[in-house]
Amino acid sequence: MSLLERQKRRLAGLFGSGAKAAPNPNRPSVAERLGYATDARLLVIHSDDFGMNRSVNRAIAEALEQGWINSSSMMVPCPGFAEAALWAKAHPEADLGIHLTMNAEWTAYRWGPVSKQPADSKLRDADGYLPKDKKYVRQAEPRDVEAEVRAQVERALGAGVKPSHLDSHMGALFSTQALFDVYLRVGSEYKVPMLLHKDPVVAKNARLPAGFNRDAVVIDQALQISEDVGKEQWRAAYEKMLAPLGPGTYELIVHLAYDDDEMRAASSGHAGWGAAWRQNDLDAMRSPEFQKFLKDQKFILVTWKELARAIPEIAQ
Amino acid sequence: MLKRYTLHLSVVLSVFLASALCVAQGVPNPNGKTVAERLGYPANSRLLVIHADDFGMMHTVNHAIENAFQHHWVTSASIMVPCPWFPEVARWAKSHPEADLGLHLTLNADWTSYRWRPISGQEHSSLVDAHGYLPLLTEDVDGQATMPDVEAELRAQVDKALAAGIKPSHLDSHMGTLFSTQPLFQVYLGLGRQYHIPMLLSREPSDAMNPPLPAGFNLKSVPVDKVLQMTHNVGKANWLATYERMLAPLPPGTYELIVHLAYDDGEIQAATFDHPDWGAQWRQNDLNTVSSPAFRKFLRDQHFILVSWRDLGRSIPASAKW
Repeated sequence: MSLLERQKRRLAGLFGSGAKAAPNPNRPSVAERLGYATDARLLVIHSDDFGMNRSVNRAIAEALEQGWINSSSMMVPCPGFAEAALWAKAHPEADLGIHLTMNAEWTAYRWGPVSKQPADSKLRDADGYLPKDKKYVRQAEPRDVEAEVRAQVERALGAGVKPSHLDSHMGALFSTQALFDVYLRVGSEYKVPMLLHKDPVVAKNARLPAGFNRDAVVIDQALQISEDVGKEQWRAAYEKMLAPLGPGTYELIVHLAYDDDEMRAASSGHAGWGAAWRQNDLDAMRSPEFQKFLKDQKFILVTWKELARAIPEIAQ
Repeated sequence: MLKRYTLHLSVVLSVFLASALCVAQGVPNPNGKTVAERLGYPANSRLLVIHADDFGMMHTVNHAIENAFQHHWVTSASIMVPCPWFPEVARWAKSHPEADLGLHLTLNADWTSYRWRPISGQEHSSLVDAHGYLPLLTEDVDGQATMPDVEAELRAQVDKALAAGIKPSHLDSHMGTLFSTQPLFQVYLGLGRQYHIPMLLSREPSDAMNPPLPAGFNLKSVPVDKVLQMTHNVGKANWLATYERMLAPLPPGTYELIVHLAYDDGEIQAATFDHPDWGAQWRQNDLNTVSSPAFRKFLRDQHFILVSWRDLGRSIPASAKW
């Protein structure tokens, strides 16, 4: 096999669709590195937004305690982060990352950056909050974004949270190459596993640099529900998404909360990821049918703490 | 000026004595017209502001206060600008320009599991704790805050409210932190003077809500005679009766009853889990009381005249405005 051919195959393995994820001929897959069979399907069931508000915190804490999900990531700038951090202290076994947050997307309920931002920073809107829209994050100076990302990691460490991984709220840090570089730089520096997208559609905006350690890309595909699914089809939509997956490592991203007064008021005017949406996610994850589906399909549930062992420079 | 202050103390003392003797009659004010008279009410009337603190703190607090305004259970409220639910209040205020809203100047983030940060920049501010939040306790502010940082934060709070279209009818202080030391009190007085906003102040040294007013302070700018609040260790069943016992013996004058409203739901139970004082149940008790027909009847029977801070602001003569 020529060098070029080998590289092409390697790239196909890295960026190809997870559904077809062929075992990489060059080195062991994540499953193999973790001691599972080559054809295993590993799955992280991950709730974003821990710390966002009380309703979200209550749902996520319950879901982690009950094993309906096995991982979550925390929004450090949010008012409920203190509660999430208290819960984390009492549950050191829980798999918790940092959901790096550059936006405050709701209307009635907002939060600001945790770093001191310069007067002209695009990370502060006219009211002093993180911007509602991702376009302002894209326009922000990368150094302002980096200051905020670092401050959030430091605040989490200061609150006693040892993050199992990093990811990005609303994918804002995946939306330009400069922001993605900030994400990669901070994650590499702190030696924290990162959710990285291999999807070529995302990679159009944000590519992994040439020398980047490909072993650190542990997730083949991140799966999320789409906006046009009706309440009745919710669980079926997840099952249809998961059932045909080939061998590989996947993250199912859900957004849990109770559809209560607080959540409805916070998300009023936003159907996507709103109160009803999050209740649907909670109902799907906790349903015995979905638990049975995962067992029948022989998904192996893994956490980010386990995935870290598949990344040599972090596992050391 | 000093003389006027001394003179006033004797008035306060006689009011106090009258109160002690339960003589509910107007005391002639040698200092000029009373607040009631300046507003066109008889000298022997009892004016009462029913005031909800903490608007903006949480959604459940906002929901309760909005409801209370709509049903006239309260006549006034003050807003916590740094809190996460301030935007909900700002939006409500725009559609309710008649509502009497002041600013509840906030230097603390007082719940263990639900916190907020200062809005005037943080990293090196003397107004943050180890996690970047406003300090938990009044004493923390006293111990660590520098007055330039306090002033910058309070100005930022007032400016943000103004920018949101809120015209504050008055200022007061969350947890009384701005009344807790003389330097903090001076910042508060300076702020009201600079922005020309009436301030909640106590004249009575016996009340000790705030440190003594500086010599020469124009007492005509202090419309409230006494501030009344629920005390600790009152059982739910005695809530209403406690308020009634507090209010019934008051002599003629101008009073503010401070209440803390919320629905006792999951949001506030979580935030106040380790803090029953001003906690979820406390606030539901307050809401139940101000909304109860029994309390409404009590106020009517006692001939309290309900007023707002906008009314009180009109009682402050131009000569006493800063």
